Amino acid sequence: MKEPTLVTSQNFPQSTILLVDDNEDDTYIFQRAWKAAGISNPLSVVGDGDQAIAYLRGTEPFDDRGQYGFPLIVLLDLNMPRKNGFEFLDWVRQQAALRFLTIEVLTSSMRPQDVERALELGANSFFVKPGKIDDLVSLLRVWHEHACQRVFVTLPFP
Amino acid sequence: MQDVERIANDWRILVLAPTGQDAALSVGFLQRAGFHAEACDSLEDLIGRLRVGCAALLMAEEALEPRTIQVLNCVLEQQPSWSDLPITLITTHRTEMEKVPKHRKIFAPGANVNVLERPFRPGTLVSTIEVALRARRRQYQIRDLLDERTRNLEQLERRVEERTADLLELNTHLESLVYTVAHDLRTPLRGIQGYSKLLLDDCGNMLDENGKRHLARIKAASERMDTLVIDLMAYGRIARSEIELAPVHMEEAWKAAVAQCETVIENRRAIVQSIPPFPRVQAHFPTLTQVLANLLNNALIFVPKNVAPEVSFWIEDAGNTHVRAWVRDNGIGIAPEHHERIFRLFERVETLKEPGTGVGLSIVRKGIERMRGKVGLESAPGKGSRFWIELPKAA
Repeated sequence: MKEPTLVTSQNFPQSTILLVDDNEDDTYIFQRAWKAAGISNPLSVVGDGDQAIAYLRGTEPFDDRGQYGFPLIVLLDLNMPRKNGFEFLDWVRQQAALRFLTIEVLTSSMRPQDVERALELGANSFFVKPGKIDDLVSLLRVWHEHACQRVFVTLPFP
Repeated sequence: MQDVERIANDWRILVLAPTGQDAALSVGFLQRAGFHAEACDSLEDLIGRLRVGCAALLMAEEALEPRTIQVLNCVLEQQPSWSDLPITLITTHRTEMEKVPKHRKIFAPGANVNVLERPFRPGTLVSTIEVALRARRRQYQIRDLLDERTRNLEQLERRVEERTADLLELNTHLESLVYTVAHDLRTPLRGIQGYSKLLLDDCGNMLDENGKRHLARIKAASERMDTLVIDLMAYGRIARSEIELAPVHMEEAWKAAVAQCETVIENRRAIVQSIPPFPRVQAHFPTLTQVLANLLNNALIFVPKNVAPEVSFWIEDAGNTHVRAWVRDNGIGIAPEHHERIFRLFERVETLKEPGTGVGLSIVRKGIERMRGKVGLESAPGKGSRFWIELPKAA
């Protein structure tokens, strides 16, 4: 039996956050907003569900955990080529060791069915991408402040 | 084959006599006269054949036992609406003293009975049966017309169902198209907005005033388009979401609407007041909140820049069944000739520097329509506006 790890405000700043989004403009602006919000956590970015799975598994090219740290939180876009956000969620919740992985949806969809489906598939929360970069910065500030106060449990994977 | 059989049954004459010999005699006589006649050897036999089909009944009074009469009356009462089965009853000679004809005592009042008194000439029987068949022919014509009408109605109903299903599918398709388009429009927009902001932040000192102005215009235009797309998505949601009507506290919906507009209220230093009492209405809370928030937002933004917006909200009775909620502002007002136009999608009449998207009041009307209410306004330029919505009172 592998031991679970507890993550609290003490070790939160060292935890990697994984952004899964195919739109390069969005991810670039996101990274800028991340810095502007003063968040020091390492941020990794992959472009679709398939890459996100490879990242979690630590298979090539993500086999260096020093560079590609195992994420504490996955920020997930829904609309992506190849494996989309829903399919990724579905895969994650079938992995026993990933059952506590925090997945927060960050998408431009405001469709009630999308929110419902994502939550049913096991997403922990759902955010709508703000149009303005300033709004994204303030969203990230609030999100970060809240995330620091939370207690997470992670299991070794794979 | 079935049709031939059906026609034969339709035109047969069923004969019920006290003895088999009597019946065979009558049948033989009728067949020689060119009719299709069949003898029934018991009441059960008669009823069985009657249910399959029969043009007329010929029966002798002697064949009618009380039980026979009861069952027969019962069967006659159950005839379909087009049918009025002709019955020829052969009776024995009556004395002149008898005032009430015998068949009136025997059959239920609605029965179509013709009495032939013995002795009669064979020709009389033939013409009586001919008259009965003529009547029956008319009844069959009505039956066929009714059948045709039923078939047509069924076909029509099927067609309506098919069309409705087609329309619903098309509607769902269109609405999801609106969503996809709106969603896909927002993605490049975020890029334009984000990069113009970053350009201004990173390279602002390399641009002259003209360059900065152009960049600011790009940013403003893309922000405006984003608002437009968001409004369109909200309109789509109101237009298609499931709406169930339930009792709603007007005050709670208004408070939620005020909370949604808090930033504008603070920025514009607006005075917003609500005047009780607030009855309960039959509505859908999220839709009502959105409707009120849009009315309040309009009341707050269509006000000259140097004037603090003043908005009042109150409710009064509109007849016994409905209430009318008012949102009054001190804004720029709307000329009466525009009162209908402003509720249409993308229509705008205001001349302010910061225009609306032209979707807000369309959302109001669509939301109110979906809650089976009404919306309207009283307004004139420079006089402010008083928008009203009418909703049914909660039971």
